[in-house]
Amino acid sequence: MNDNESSRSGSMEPSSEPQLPGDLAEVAAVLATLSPRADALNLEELLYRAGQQATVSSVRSKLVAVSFVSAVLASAASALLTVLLMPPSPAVQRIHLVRIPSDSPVVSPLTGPPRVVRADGPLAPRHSPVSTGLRNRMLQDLENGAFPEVAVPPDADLLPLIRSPADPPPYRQQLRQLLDRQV
Amino acid sequence: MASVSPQQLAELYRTHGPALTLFARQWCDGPEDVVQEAFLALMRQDRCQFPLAWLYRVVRNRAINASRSRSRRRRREAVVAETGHRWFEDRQPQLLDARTATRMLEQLPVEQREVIVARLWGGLNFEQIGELVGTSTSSAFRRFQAGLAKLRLRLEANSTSLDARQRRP
Repeated sequence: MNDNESSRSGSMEPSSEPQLPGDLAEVAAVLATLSPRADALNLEELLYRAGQQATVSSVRSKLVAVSFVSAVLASAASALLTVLLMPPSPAVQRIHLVRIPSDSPVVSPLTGPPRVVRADGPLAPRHSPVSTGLRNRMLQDLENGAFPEVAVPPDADLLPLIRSPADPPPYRQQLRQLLDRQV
Repeated sequence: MASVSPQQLAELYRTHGPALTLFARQWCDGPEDVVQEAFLALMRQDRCQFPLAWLYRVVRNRAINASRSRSRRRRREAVVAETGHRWFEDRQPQLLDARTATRMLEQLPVEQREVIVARLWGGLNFEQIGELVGTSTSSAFRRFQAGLAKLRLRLEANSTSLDARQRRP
C-alpha cells in the first residue's frame, strides 16, 4: 500500500483501531492498489446543478419573505376594515325587567300588574326620529301598563321571584306574625 | 462544518467521488446519480460535522432505495450484460486486474463487501463504519476480516489456476 492509499484507507487512524493479521493485511494492501472508476463522474454537471439549486433556494427564500410581508399587510388591512366598517354600538344595551309586588310597603301601591323597567346604557339620541318614536312608544307602553309580569317568559332563574298575588311574600307573613304577637 | 460552498463540494467530489460511486455500486446500477444527489443534499445541509461519513450514509440509503426498484434491476442486468462488471480503473501493471477484483468482490455477501469498500477505498474507521451499517465497531471489524479471508482464499485459488495455465505447453 503506498502512502496515498494508506492515508485514504484510514491506516493512519489512532492505534485504538483493531489490527489485521499479516496475511489479511497483505490482501488488503493488494486490493487497495486498485482505484475505483472515476470516468463516469461529472463535476461540471454537479456544479451546474449545485448552482441551479442555490438559485432556486435563493428565489424560494425571497418568495417566502414576500409572501410573509403580503400576508402581514393583508391581515392589517383586514383588521383596519373591520374597525372602520364596524356598526355603532346600540343605544340601549340591556333592559332589565324587575318585578315589584303591587302591595309592597316600599313603593306606593299602583293599580294594574307590577312593572318596572330599568335601562342600562345611554338612551337613543333625541334628535333621531326613529329612536324618538321608539322611546315615546316605550314610555307610553310603560304608562299604559305594558310589560306585565305575565308577559315575561318564564326563566329558571326568575321563577323563584315570580309569585302569584294569592301567595303573600314572606315579609308580609312575618309582619302579620309580629302584629299577632303584640295583640 | 457549516454549509458547504461549491468549491468545497468540488474538492470533496474529486477526492471521494470515485470511492463513493464504488460504494453505491454495491447496490444499484446508477451509482453516479446517487452520488450526485448525495452531494447536492450535502449542499442543502446547514451544518455537517463529518461530511464524508454523512455522504457515505446518504449514498448507502439512496443506493439501497434505488436497488429496490424492479425496473432498475432489469436495467442493471442489461447494463451488466453489455459492459461487464468493472468497478476499478484498468491500469497495467497491477497486482490484481480490475476484472478479477470485481468478480471476487461481487461474490462476497453485501454485508462484508460494503465494509471492505468503506474501509479500503472510503477511508472510514471502524467506528464510522459501524455507525454506517448499523452495527458495533467490533462487528464491523469482524465483517471486514471475514471478507478479506474469503478474498485471500479466492486470490490463492486464482493464482494457482493461473500458474497451472502458464505451465501448460
